Amino acid sequence: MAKTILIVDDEDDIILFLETLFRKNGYETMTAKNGNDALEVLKSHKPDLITLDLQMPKNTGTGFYRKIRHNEEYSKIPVIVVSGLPGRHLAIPKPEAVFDKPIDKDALLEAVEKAIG
Amino acid sequence: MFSGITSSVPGMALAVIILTGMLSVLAAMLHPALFAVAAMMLISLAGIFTYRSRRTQTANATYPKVDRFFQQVPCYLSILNKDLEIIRTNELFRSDFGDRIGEKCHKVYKGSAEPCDDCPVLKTLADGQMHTTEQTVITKAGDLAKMIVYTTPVEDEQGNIVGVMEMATNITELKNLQKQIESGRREYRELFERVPCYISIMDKDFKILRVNELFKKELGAAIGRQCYEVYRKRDSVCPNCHVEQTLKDGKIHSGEKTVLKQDGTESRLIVYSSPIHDEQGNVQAVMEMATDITEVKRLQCELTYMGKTIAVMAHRIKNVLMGLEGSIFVINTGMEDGDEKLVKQGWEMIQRNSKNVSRMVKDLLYCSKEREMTFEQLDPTAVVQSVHELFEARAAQESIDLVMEIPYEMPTGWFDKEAIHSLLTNLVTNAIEACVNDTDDNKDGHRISLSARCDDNGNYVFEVEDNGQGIPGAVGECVFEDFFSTKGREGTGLGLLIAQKVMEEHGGTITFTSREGQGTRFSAVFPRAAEKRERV
Repeated sequence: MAKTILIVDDEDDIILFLETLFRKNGYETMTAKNGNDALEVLKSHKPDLITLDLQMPKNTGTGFYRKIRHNEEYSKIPVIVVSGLPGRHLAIPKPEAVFDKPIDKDALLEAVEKAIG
Repeated sequence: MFSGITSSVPGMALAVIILTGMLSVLAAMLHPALFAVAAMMLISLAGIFTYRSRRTQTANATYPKVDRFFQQVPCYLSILNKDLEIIRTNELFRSDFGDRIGEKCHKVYKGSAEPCDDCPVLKTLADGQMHTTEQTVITKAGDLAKMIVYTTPVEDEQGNIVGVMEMATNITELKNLQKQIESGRREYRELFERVPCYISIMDKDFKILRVNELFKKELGAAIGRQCYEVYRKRDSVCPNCHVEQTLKDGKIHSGEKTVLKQDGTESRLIVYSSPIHDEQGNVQAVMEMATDITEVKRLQCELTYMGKTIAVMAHRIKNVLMGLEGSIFVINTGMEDGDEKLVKQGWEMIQRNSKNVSRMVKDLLYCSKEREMTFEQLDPTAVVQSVHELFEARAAQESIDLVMEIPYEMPTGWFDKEAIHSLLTNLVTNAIEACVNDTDDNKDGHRISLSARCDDNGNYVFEVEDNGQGIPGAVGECVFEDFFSTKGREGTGLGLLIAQKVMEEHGGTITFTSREGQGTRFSAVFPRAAEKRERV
């Protein structure tokens, strides 16, 4: 069965790009446009990986990340952070990988593969 | 000889003996009556000689001392008779003017044949009083010398004025020093008054003793009042007062201060207070010097804002690049897979990003003065409507109620349509961002109102008001910094710079009020007779 990736990002362009990228490489995708919607999606379907944008309004990205890290059920899901802000590595503890914008798609795929195959 | 004889006792005895001898001889030779007359004559002659020599003797006993003093005193002494002829001089006089006995004093002092206009000698001769004047004279060597001259009358035994004693002291050196001091003082005064900064001097009780011209002109004189009362309308010393610190430790202290000028405008000053010491070295007063740095601060703020704007723009360009790269990938994938829908989506992505860049470039050009201004007579309500239309969808997307409040029509005025459009667009963009970033969930929905109206003076007033997150921090010195936001995605980052330029070009002003957590209102006021301004 194909692995699913939950894309959390408020920008349509990024979602389209990432969806196209992942689908082309055999992954299935789900999307959420903010941290709260992402939590809702998690309840119904557990993804194998999450890509998370930290630069969303009202800091819902960082809020979401903290919540899942503290939640037993979700804390094991690997998270790849996508953020355009410098100093991103200081914002939150220990994601699988952190990517700067503009996203290097080959490097991203590599990281996804490494995390979930 | 006679005086020598009669001044001593043996001398006296000898005289008596000689006299007796002579009388005896004469007695034998002359008729007794004739002898009596001769004897009386001899005796009275002897008496007269005695008397006179006595008098001279007394005089000669004290006279040497007076004479020595007269000669050696270090000022010029001369005695003149009633015809202004010099009859006596002292050493110093002779050395600098020569031994000019018999010559008229005005000839000796000034080489002039006539008495001086204000001749003190003549005055003294006339009224018997002492007179003092300053005169410029020529010495024997031909040098000019300034003198202070005293004249006193010389009287005979009956009290008649027979001459004048003239005493003069050379004050040339003194006069030169005086001139130097005066010139130094004048220079200092010029400097104090003309220097292009505010100078004021305060005493230990903070009372203003003195201020310079610029200070008087722009801040008011207020001599005698306490400085804190005059500048800050306080009744006690201001906190962190530099003057107070200087009074305490006698050192220079500096800092920044805001003052209200007489014309009602505020200025930011950089202030130095330095101590003024008395002869004992104690601090007796403080001099405060201040330079207006309002303009410098404004430029500093502008530059800081511009620097940050550039950072934001770089960030947004990065996003656009990502968008373009991403869309290329999506289109390629679509074409490879024969997925027409995907291709279409990718193509739309390119168009969106292209539009974004376009907007950024337009705004950038506007700010860097490359855009041509096109003024025309127009009714601004049309522009307001256009901006409202532009943002309706976006606002709805963010659940923001975008409301337009305009009169049916407004009188036409000179406006650059695109500039006004840009201005309103930027203000609405900021407002949307403020709402989107607002973390307050207790608000009953977000609302932005976009309005235009004419005020009582016929000026155009455009307002954009929102109930979003407001502007954090104090209303500070740096107006621009307060608006800064890296999180926003809406605008191009140049919003405030554009707003400022538009206002400048139309001769208008823009202000804002904001409460953190509650909302913000921007007011752009354009004068009724908006002048068509050429870009410099």
